[in-house]
Amino acid sequence: MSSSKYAELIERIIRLCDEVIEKNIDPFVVDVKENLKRLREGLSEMDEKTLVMNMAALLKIIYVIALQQEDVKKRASRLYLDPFLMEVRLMSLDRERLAEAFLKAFRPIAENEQATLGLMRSAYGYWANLREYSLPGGGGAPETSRLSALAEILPMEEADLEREMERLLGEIGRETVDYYDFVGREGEDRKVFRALVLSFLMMRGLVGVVQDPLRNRVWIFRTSPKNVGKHSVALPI
Amino acid sequence: MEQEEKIRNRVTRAVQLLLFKSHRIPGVKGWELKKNLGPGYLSVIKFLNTRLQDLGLTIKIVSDDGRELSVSEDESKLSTARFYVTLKDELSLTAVKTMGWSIDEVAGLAVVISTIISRKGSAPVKEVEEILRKKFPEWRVRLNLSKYIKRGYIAEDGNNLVLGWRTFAELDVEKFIHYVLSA
Repeated sequence: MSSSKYAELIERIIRLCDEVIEKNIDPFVVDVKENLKRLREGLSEMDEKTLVMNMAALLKIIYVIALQQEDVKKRASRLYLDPFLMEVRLMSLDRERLAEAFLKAFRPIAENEQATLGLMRSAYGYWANLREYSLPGGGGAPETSRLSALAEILPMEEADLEREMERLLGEIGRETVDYYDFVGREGEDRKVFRALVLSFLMMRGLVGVVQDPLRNRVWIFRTSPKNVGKHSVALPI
Repeated sequence: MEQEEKIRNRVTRAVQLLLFKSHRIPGVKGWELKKNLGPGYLSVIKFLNTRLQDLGLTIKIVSDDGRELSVSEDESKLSTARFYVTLKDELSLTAVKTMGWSIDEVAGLAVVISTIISRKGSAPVKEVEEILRKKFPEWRVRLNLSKYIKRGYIAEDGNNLVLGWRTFAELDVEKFIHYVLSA
């Protein structure tokens, strides 16, 4: 075989392997044995360049062999199903029997929703899109130009919130602090924001609350998991 | 006595972490539990699991690649795995209706998941829609698919559909396929 023909053959093998690897095609379209035989044929009269190409083709074939191995494993596993047979099976079952089969293996997660930033963003989006109650800057995507507190909270990432939580926790110190003084410490503009961050700290059990309903006073204090309160309270801002 | 109180507090904290959603996805990662409950967090989880089982719940641990793990698994695998509280026993059709699902929606989800699995974990959206159309009214198909995507049962991967995090957390896929084939 001439050297140019041999180089062409190698290129063809590389292209075929690339197709299989990149396009997720059935790896068994590559005849590994036959291709290795062809690669071996020109080995004796090879220049340096062809040798490098030969190596590249060999590497591609090795990758295809790995894909074939993976495919065989999948087919041998209990989870391999023929798509056509599965479709026939699905069509033969009525909806109720399908639902029953699903429920036998279904164990839903028990979870409780709480005010996360994501939830607040969707809530804001909802209110902003209601004409009658539309929030300033609303109408389309939740723009927050005038509501300063929301403007600050909504674009926040979870990591920023964590930082704010740490900052506020540091501010509380070891003493008991008046709740209203604390949330209003940075002015009216920051009041809602500070109350929200504080609520996250309370939710995590890092800050406790003491109420005096007779004098309408509320105090907060830094807590350790040892003295986490066992009840929830709604605090107006 | 103080020791008992300490354990009780750690169990309470574990319940808060596991049940209250603080991220987009419910449940909590192993490393987060370790950070909050200390190095012995697995003992707390084991203890809590026995208590939850009395209430018909259980703690399920799912690895990044969707495999179910046990508490005795390697620490490094558990730290990246997600811990969920799930129901322990089977739900009846009536019970699932009270959870806001209709039979059609559950059956549709069963069709979608089976189709994806039979296509090696990734099925073209068009093919899935076509199969659904043979069983459900046209208007329901897109509506149901977006509901499954929104809830995390399936996910879009380009023009294909793949299984979502919630399927791995809530469904025993092998058992499910077995039940579909033997129904």
